Amino acid sequence: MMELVLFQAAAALYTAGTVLGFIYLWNRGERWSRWMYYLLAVGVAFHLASSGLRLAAFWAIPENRFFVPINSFFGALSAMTLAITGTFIVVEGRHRLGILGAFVLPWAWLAAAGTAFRGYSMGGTEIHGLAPALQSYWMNIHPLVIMVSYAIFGNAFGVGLALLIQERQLRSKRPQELCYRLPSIEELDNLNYRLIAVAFPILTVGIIMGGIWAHEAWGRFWGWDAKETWSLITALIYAVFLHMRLVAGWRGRKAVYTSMCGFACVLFTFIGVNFISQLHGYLSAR
Amino acid sequence: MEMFRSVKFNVGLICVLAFACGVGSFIPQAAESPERVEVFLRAQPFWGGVLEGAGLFNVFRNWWFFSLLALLGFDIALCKCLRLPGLEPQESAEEVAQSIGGRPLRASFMGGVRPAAAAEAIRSLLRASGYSVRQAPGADSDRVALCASRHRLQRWGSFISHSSMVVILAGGLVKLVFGFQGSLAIPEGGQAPVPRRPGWELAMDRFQVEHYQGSGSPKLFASDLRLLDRGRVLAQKLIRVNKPMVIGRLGFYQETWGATGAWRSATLSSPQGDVVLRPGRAQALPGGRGRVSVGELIPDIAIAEDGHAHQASSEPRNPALRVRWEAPGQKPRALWLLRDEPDAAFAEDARGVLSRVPPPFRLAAVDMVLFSGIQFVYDPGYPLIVAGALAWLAGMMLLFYLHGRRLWVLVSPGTGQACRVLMGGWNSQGPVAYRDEFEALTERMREVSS
Repeated sequence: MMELVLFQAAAALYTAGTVLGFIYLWNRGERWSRWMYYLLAVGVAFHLASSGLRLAAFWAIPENRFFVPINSFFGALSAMTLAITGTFIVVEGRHRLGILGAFVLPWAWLAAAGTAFRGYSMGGTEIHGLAPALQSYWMNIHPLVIMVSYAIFGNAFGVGLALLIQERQLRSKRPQELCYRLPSIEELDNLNYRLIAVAFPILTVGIIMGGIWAHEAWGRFWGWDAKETWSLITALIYAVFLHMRLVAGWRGRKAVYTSMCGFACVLFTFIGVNFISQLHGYLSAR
Repeated sequence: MEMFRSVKFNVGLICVLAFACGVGSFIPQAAESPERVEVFLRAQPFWGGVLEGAGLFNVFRNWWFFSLLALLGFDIALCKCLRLPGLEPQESAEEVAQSIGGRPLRASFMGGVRPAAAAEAIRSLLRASGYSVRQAPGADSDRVALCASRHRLQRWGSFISHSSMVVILAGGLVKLVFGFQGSLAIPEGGQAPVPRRPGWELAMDRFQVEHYQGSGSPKLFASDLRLLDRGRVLAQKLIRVNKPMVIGRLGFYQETWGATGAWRSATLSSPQGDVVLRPGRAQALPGGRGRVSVGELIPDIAIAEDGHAHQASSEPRNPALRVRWEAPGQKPRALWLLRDEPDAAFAEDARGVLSRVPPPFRLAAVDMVLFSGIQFVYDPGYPLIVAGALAWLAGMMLLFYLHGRRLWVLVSPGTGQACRVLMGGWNSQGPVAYRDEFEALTERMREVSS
């Protein structure tokens, strides 16, 4: 239970960090941004400590040894929280926009809240023995690679949201204070593209790794199960975004709407698919 | 042909493919879950007929879906594979002069030295900054045009990644045309002929299954296989999920397992003592309680609404034995005993309807004959798919992770001893990502040519 308590502490710190991200949006004192960083860093430390304890409990089952514990919904959501927060820290640290917290951290918060709720409703952190199909070294690679790409897409979604708000502000006759706090449209548009350009290859590589794993397990690279199909749809939508931006020169709102469609597919692939198919889902662990 | 090469057409094609995939994921597919298709057809006969007529119960194996994939492959080949990036013509000085005006990043300044000296200084500076520089042909003695680029390999990224998709699709086509696959259900100790390989037989000597304590879900299932060619052993391996036996390009994969319905022994337990039953033999119960014989084994029993016993699945989740009990002075009775519910027994009447009764004895254990579901797959297209996937990875890395940069510099005579420098820049990651470097380069060029 200690790992659940530690995770709940991490979730509380993520919540506080998200609130500070919003405060920074309205009251641009650098101290809010700094404290947001500190809280997130401590939250990540708590989260890692929780994950360490959970890993020890997971490895207590001999078949699970040396595999990452993401074969349950709790584990997947927890890893997703860590991935979104981690990529946010990297993106924010690199681009120093400050304002991004209010647009990206709600996703990390949602994932953290979902994880905490799942832990509460299941009465623990869902430690299961790995099904035979999951006892492969690919278990430590394929889902994590995909999750990193999802997390970066989540960051891009936040940037896209900021762009839409900024564009709306600039179009209005009386722009609010927020307009002067948000970066320029061009900067946001470029960052949205850069993030998707980084995440898209990672997603496709993750999908290919899944295909190679499926070939090792069942002798088929592609089986058209719902998860595979929706990950392909996600890749196709982002491919449309990249083509329209790079070849047709789409910028601004149209490009952002396309990328948002892609992120809707990401969410459906991660969460929704579990409800339409038993295979390849965190809820069935098959 | 121009239509096939247009961005709109290709993006539209990708959208249609994505839509078809989405449809296929929501409508039950006959290849993956035929039982769900049956349920749908029974529940919605009209709409079921419509969907069946349109082939929507078989989206991913339908001719129109394959046509879409083929069209995608054709388009990619047309748009990318036939346009090698290295075959682009070199720009002349005149073209450099014209192209600078259309570049997203532009700068101009006056230098204090003659054009040739300024061009030489700029060339050295760019080389020191990691650019490869060449002089555009067609310049005169006064005017020098330079084309510089950095990370030129980036230009190959699009070509390689698109071409690799054609290779992946070709791999799928090779499997479709030349490959085959199927399933063999082999009981322990049994063997089965391998389809399309005359004389080959697959023998399964031993099947092993282990479960996690508590949840009861399987943690291991493995089959000890021997592949025989007219009695000669070609290969032998203990296979499990993720550990197949592969010979040539023919692989044998552990897919599923279950109970055949046959059994070797069963142990009945009662306060008077235990008795071990064998198939086909009646056995006396201890304490003079009569005789029992076993008629049928159901590995996963369920009771239907009409009260009859039926098999829910082939997995031995809830095994039940139908025993015929001849108690002294009573009519023979048919009883169902459940291994996992020792406090329950069901009496079966003449119509086959079950009713719950107190168990006269318990089914303590049953040794079932299991079968192993082995999937055999011959996939000659897989190496192509892997090669395509690796090329895709390389192409994506080049395309998105290398920051390709190009500069065009035109140095022409100014007034007196001075020169005029015009420059334009392009980069693969958008002007914002290059602006700072471009401005810094401009400043340093101004310094070296002043």
